[in-house]
Amino acid sequence: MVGFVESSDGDLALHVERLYFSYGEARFRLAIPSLSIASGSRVAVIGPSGSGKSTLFNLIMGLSPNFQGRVEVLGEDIYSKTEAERCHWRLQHVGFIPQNFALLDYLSVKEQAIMPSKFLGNADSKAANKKVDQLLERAGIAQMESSYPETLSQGERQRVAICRGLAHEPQLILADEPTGNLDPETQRTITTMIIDEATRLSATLLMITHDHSLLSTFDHVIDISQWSGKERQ
Amino acid sequence: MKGSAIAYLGVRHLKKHKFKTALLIASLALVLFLPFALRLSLQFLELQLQGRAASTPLLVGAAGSELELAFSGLYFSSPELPLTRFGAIDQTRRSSSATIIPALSCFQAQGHPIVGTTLRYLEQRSISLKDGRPFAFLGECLLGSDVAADTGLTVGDSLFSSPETLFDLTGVYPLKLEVVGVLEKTGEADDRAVFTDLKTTWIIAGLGHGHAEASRIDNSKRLQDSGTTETDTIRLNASLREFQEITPETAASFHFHGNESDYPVSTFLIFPGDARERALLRAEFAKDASLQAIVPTEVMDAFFATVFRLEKFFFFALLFITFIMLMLALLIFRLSLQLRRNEFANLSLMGVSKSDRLGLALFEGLAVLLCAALVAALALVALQFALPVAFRSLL
Repeated sequence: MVGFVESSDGDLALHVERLYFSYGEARFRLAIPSLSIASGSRVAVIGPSGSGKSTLFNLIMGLSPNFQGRVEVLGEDIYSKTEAERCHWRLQHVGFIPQNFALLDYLSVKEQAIMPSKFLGNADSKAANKKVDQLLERAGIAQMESSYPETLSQGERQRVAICRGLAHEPQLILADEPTGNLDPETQRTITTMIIDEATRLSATLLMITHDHSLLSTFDHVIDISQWSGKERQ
Repeated sequence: MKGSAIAYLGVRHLKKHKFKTALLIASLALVLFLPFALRLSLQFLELQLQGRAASTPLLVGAAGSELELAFSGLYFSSPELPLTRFGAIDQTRRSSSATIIPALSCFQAQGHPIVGTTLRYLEQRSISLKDGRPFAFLGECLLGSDVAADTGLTVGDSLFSSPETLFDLTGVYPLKLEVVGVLEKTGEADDRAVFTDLKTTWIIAGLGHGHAEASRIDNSKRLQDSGTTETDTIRLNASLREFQEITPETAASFHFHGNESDYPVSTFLIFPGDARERALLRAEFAKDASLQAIVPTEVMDAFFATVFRLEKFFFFALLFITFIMLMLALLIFRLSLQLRRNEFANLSLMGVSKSDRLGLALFEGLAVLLCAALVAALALVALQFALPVAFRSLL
């Protein structure tokens, strides 16, 4: 459902109020009067290139402190934290799946997936290892757990990035066009996988996508272009 | 982020880029190793040279380079040293109570110096026999322990003195030296020398020789018959066999020509009773312009003063190179960080803080530096073991 914005009185994964953000010489602006997303929702974010989808993600992840208004994520005013605290919060609660995979060339598939848990200091536990093994199994890449990114196909790399984003069981999953470079068949498989994992974790999922054929698999769709544009000179 | 995670990422990154890491470690290790290696080598050299020099209070030889005389007298290593006469210090020999030991060390056998001297030399240096007996007759020799080990020769074997010039047909014949004893190891240059009587080295020099009696020459072997009928004329020619070995049968035929006091000597090792006697002897030798008397420790002091001046220059040069290398390493490090900008941006997205990213970069830098220091330290330990071997092969 394109253009739908969820409001809820229950637990909110995201609550934005009177947000105003602008940058660059072209004075790009993003102005969201009010946006609330309930915990556990599966939301597709759409909009043309440059309409502010990634900007919204950056704001949600605590990476863009220069804005006006209020941004609460998982019930916390994240911008009241220091940068280091925001980093740790992101590490703990957010699973980010970037479009370009962002894999480290010096880590194997399993090492990539377990990295966030390692950062959080619980990678050595049997449970964490088991979780990663199960995730790799479900993603169909368990047999290549010792392989390095340069030996993997695009689809396999994307699966690794997904496993890394989910292995530490985040409450909020942000997927930035995770199927952008994949063929339609793999796109559907990957999207289904992300939605299934989000459901299994009861996590809130926000996924940027350009593929309107996938929108029916989401609970809600946000068209970001309604809130963005260029400032009048 | 936990420190262990930073270390984990750093180690994985360094391991994945093995070649680059190894190259960086090797370069830095070399830069760290060189100044210390130079210092260590010079300290070792000074210790060795000064130790040997201290065991010889005074050396006398032909006027010329003090350093060459010192190295010839202490290490038998300057075959081109101008020689002096055996009789050059006869007057001192008669008047002084100091122990005077002549030595001629300009010949070699199988690459080892032949030192013609007296048995007093071995007594003075407290070198004892490990096997056999001291030399007693012409043509006999004693082997230093390293010579025996290198050549595999032992008592009863023999070795030839090396011809000085291979193509000099008029030169000195090689002389067969019979090994009558092997010396105990001393850890000094004496281990690498062949000792024989001074007169034997004069025979090697061609000043003494043994040959078949001219009167017994078979007339048919004469190259030219002048047709004379004089029966008391003895003609010497190429058919006259010169002995290359001194045996009980040939020993009687060996004889010297000329005045013994004019025969060559490389150095006189002089052991005065005290410092006063040494000073007096030096003053006496100073009167003779053809001679020079040196105190080896003083020569070595002067030598090392020059060496250390040079070392300072090299040290500063190395320091400069070290500085340049460190700057280069820093540049490489910085460029590497720039190349890894995307990686750090991705780490940031995942929640790795700026201080942790900086920690990761610092960890990698420190790990490389630590490995380089470790490699340099190991190389220095290896150098300590290699220095005595290198020193032996040099001197």
